[in-house]
Amino acid sequence: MYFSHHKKCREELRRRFVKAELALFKIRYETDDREERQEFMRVHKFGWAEADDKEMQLHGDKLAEASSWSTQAANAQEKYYKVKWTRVPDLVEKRRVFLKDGMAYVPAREQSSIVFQEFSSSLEKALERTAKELPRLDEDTRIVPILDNLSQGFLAGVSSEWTSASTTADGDEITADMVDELARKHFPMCMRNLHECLRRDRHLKHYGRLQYGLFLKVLGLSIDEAVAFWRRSFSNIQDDKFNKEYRYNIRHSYGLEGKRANYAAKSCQQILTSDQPGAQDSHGCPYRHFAPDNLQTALLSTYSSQGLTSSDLPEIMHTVKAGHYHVACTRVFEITHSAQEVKKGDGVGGGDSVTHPNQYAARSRELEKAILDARKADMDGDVPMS
Amino acid sequence: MTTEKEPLTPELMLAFYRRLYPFKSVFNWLNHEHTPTKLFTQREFAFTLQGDVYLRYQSFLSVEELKKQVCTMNPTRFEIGPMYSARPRDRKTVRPGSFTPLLRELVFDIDMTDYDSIRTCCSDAAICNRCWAFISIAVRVLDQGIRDQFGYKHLLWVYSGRRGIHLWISDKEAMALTDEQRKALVGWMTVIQGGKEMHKKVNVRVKSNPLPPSINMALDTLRERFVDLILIDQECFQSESGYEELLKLIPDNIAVSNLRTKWRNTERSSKQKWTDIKKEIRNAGGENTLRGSLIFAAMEDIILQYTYPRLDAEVSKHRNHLLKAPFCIHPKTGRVCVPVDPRTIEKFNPENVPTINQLLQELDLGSQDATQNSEHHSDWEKTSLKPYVELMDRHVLALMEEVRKSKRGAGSSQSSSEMKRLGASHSRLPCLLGEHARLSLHATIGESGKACEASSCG
Ligand SMILES: [Zn+2]
Repeated sequence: MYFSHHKKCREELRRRFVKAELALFKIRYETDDREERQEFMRVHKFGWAEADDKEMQLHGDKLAEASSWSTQAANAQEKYYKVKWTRVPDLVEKRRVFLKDGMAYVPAREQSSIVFQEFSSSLEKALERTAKELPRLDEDTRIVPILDNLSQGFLAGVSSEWTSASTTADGDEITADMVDELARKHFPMCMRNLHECLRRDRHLKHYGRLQYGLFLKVLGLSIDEAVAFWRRSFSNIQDDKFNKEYRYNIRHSYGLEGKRANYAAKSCQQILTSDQPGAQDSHGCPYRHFAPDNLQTALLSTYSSQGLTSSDLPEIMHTVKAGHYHVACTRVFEITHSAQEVKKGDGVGGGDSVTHPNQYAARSRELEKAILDARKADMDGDVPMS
Repeated sequence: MTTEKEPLTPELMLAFYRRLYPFKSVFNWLNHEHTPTKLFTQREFAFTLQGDVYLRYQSFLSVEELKKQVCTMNPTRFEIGPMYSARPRDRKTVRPGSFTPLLRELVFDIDMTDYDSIRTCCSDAAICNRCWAFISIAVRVLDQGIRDQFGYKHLLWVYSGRRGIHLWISDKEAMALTDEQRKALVGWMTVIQGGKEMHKKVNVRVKSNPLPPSINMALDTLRERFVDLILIDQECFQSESGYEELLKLIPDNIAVSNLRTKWRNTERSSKQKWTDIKKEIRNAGGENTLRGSLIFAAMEDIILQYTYPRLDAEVSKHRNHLLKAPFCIHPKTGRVCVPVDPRTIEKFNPENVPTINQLLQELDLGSQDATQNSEHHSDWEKTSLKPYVELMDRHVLALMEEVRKSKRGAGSSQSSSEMKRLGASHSRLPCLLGEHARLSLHATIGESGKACEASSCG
C-alpha cells in the first residue's frame, strides 16, 4: 500500500476523506427539519445577503431563467440570496446561478449547495493545516499502520481504483510489439479508439496519451517498453522532439519524474466525468462522447470480427441514449466474448458491469487464457477421466 | 501569413532585449506597484534558451536584475508563472511542502487550431486576416462576459505572435483564485464541448429551455458576426461536406430531408441555405409549435457552435501554468507579442504587427548607438513598438491606481522596507550562466533547475 508514503498520496487520501465526510454531512443536513436547518445557518453566518427589491427588479426574468435547470418548481415570490461567486464554485461551474459583477444569485431552494461548499472547504483547510504542522507524519512508525488502514478503508467500496496487482494474475509483462494484437482482441471501445487514432494520425493529444498510456501501464507495459511503444507510434516525429516533449511525460506517468506519484489508470467514472474532450480530442468514453451515428459505425468496424452485428446495435444504442454508458460497454463485452461462452447478464464476471477499462481487458485476457489452458490440457492428455 | 525571411539570430534577440524590450512596463504590470513586492520577487520566470533548453524557477529581486539576466542568457522567449510562497530560485532551501503557488493572473489562451474544423480559408499553422475574425469574435465575447458576470476590470489581451491570443486578468480577486475556482470559472465560460467524433458540440440548455442569460448575451453579439463570417466570408455550408455537417445539427427528420433534396439539386450559397432552414420553421407551423421551437433552438446552438470562443481550458485551470510574457518575439514569425485593445479588436491585423527585424531597422542598427554597454531605456519610443507599449502602460496605470486606493483604505504597508532588506542579499547571478551551457538538450522541466543548483558555484 503506497498510500501514505508520498505527498501526492496523502493529498489523495485527504480528498477521499473530505468526500466521505461531506456525504455524511449531506445526509444529516437533509434529514434535519427546516427549523433546525435555519438555526444552523443563523449560527454559522454564511455571509450571504438577501437580494433586495431593486436588484430583483433590475435582473427580473434572468434570475428565473438562470435557475430553469432546477427540478423544484420555483414560486413567483421566491427569494434569492446574493453571495460572492467564489463561495459557490460548483454552482458557477455548472452555470446554475445568475451571475452579475462577481455576485451569484442563488435561489432559496438551492441554499444547501452553499452550505455543503462551506463545509467541505473548511474541512479541507483544517486538514491542510494539520498536514503542514505534521510534515513528518508519514515517517512516524506508530501512525503509519493507522494511516494505511484508513487509506484501505477509503479504497474499499470505491471500485474506481484498479491496481496493477489485481490485473495480471501471473504478472505477465507485455511488450510494445504485443499491443496491436492485444488491442484487437481485448480492449474496450475507448482504448480501441485511441489505438486506432494513434495508428492513423501517428499522434495523440495530451489527454489521449494520458488515458491510453496509463491504461497500457496497468496492463503490464514496462517503462522501457512504453517508451519504445510511443517512440515507434509517433513515427512522424524526430528523435530530439520526442525526447524533449514526450519522454518526460511518459516517465512521469510511471512515477519516475516530478512528483513521482504512482498514477492509477483512469476509471470509467473518471473518463466519463473529468477532462471533457475538446473539439479536437479523441479521449473520453465513445459511448458518451461520440455522436450516435459515429458510435454505431465505430462499433461495427471495431467489433464485427468478434461477432458484433448490426442487429445488436438497437439494444446498445438504447442504453446509450438512457445514459447507461457502462451498461452499453458491458453488453458489447458480452457479445464480443460469446465465443468464450459469455452470456447476456454475465457481464465481466459474476454479472458485474464494466467500471474500469483495465478490468475489461483483464477479464478478456483471463477468458482467453482459460480456453488456451483447457486446450493445452486436452492435448497433454491429463484431463481427469470422468 | 508571411513569416520572417531572415533568421532570428542570437545577435538580433540580444539587441532587441537590450534596446527595445519594455522591462519597466512588464515589471509594473506584474508587480502592481513601483517598488518590488513579492508579486515580483517570488514570481517564477522560465527561460527557453537557444537549442531549446528550458530553465524553470528563475526569480529576480528587481527589474534591473531581470533585464540583466535576460541579456546574459539571451533566451528565445521567456514565460511567466505564479507568485510562490517563497522565491522560486530558493525553492530547494525551504521546507518541503511549503513551496506552493499563491497568486497568479487568471489567464486564457485561444488558438486558431481549435477552429480548424470550421474555417475554410486556411488550415494547420496557417492564418490569414480572414480567419483572424474567429479570434476577434472570441475576444469580444470573452471580454464582455468576464467584465459583466465576474466584474473584473483589468484585462490585458496579448497577441501570441502567430495564430492566437492570450488574456491576463490582474484584478486582486482574480489573482487569488484557487485552482478549483479557476476551474469553475472556465466551466462557466465553456460552451463548446464533445470530442472530434461528436457532431453537436453545444449542450448548454436544460431540455428545451431557453439559453442561460449569460449565453444569450453572447448570442446577441454572435448572431450578426455569424452571418458575416460563417455564411458570407467562410461559406461554411457551401460544399456538400459543409452542409451535411450542418444537417446533422438539425433535430428534425422532415426538415432535414426537405433541405437535403433542395440543396443537392441547386447551387445555393450558405446564406440562402440559412434562410431555407428558417423557412422550415414556418413550414413546421412557426416558432411556437414543438417542431418549430426545436429547429429554432438548434439554429441558436449552431451559431454558438460555429462562433463561440473555443478555450484551451487547461491553461486557465491551474495557477502554476506558465504563459509566454508579453512583448516576447514569436520564434517562427519574428513578430512581437503585443498587447491588443479589445475595443478595436476587429481592426487588428496580425500582419501589421511589427517584427523584430523591422523594429531594429527602424532603430537603425548601423548607428553608433548600438555599442555594447550603452543603455537605451526608451528606444522603443523611436519605433512602431511605441503605441503598444503605451497601451500596456495605460493598462498598468489603471491597475496601479486601484491598488494604491485599496492600500490607502487598508492603512500603511510594511512591505516596501521588507523588500529593501531582501534586496540587499542577492548573489548567485553568475552561477546560472556558466551552467546553462553545460545542460544537455534533454534537460527537462525541473531537472534543469536542479542541474544548476547542484553545481559547485556557491
Ligand atoms: Zn484564413
